[in-house]
Amino acid sequence: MAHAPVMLSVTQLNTYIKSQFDGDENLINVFLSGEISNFTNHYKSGHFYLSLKDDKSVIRAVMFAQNARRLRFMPQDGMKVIVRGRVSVYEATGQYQLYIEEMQPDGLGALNLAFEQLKTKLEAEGLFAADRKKPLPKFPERIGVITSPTGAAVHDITTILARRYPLAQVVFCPVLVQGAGAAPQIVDALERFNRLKCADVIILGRGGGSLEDLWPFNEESVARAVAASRIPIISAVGHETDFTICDFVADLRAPTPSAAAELAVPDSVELMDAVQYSAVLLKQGVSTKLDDLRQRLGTVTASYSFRRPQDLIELQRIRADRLSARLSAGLSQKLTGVRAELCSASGKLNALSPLATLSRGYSIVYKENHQPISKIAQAQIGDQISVLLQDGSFGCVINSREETHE
Amino acid sequence: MNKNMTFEAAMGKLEEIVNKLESGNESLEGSLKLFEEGSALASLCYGKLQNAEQKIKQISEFEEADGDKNV
Repeated sequence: MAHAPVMLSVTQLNTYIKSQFDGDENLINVFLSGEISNFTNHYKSGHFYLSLKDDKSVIRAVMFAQNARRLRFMPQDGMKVIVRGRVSVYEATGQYQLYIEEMQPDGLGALNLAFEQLKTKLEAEGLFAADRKKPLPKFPERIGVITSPTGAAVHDITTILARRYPLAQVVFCPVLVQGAGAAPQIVDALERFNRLKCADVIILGRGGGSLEDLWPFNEESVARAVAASRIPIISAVGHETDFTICDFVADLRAPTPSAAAELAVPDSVELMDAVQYSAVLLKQGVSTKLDDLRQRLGTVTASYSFRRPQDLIELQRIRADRLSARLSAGLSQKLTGVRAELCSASGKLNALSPLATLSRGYSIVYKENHQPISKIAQAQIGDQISVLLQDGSFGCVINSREETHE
Repeated sequence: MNKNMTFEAAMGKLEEIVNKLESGNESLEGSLKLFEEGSALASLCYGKLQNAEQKIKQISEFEEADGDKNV
């Protein structure tokens, strides 16, 4: 029985082949282990395109955005994975491929891988850098607390804050701390605090739990919200041994929520001691000042002149005496000088006196009219003359004369 | 002195006064005035610490207040 050959279009053939694949129960739910290559993340659509290979063969694969979004880690070339999906045909190209619905890293858990990947990425961006860390306020007035309203963490935190530093106000923002809804609520809480500026420091955390439970604190959105906060954040997630991405981005990591409360505020008992010490220092400062002034005053009043004012008067008296002595000495010197001058002047006067000449044995001859005769021409024979000696006089008559010629 | 000053401000001022007083550069009148002011600050700080009772508020209260402000 001969049939005329049926002429198919390419589309018809590809549709037929696809129906064969889709009808095969073995291809509907395939678990496959392989290594990723040619991985492409189509940013616009969010679809992943990749190949899976072993040492001999390769199969093309696609993971649509709705499934890819649920992945917590980012696939990359060379990564060994276990995938679940179906094998079907892309009619437009006739290419059969694996449509991946779920993917797990082979070996390391998906969460661990996601953690390492996000950590590496944010670290490369510098979000963990020490110079990004904001200093915590010394005396916070308002402390934001973002945690579950039902957990032990909120109780621990408020108890310790009330004991250590009741001065501060606690501003509580209850959030889910695990499950899918937690990360968006935490991000929202951080944004609210920053918008309202109603805290000086924020404690963000929760008590211990499994890696899955703590997962919101490893979400990129939370990490970025913590990094973007202008209010310093203390991260306190789980126990001492639990590390989350949030811890790395936060300004300070506390090992537990209780420890976060201790780190957030000073201890008021210590502060009271400090205040009392300041009061002591104040008293010391004033008494030091007073002692200093008292000592200076003492030094001044103890000085010689202050102690014996009469000595001061005596001193002045001595000075006055000295001055007057000098004055009289100066005067008597002057008098002596004058007296000496007078003496010498009178001596000279005496030497010139005719009386002194008489005392040396000379005499003066007067005429009768008391004219002294000092030249021979005045004397004539027979003239009455008187002769004056130092102690008397006598009269006589000239009986001779002789003229001397030189 | 403002009784409503924050603990931080009061503590800061107190430290400043203690330092000034310890430097010994102030006059007697200045020292006594500093002492008086410092003592008042110390008792303010002490009182604040002793009488404080922690208040816990929900962030929603701030949002309401913020909303009222915006209206």
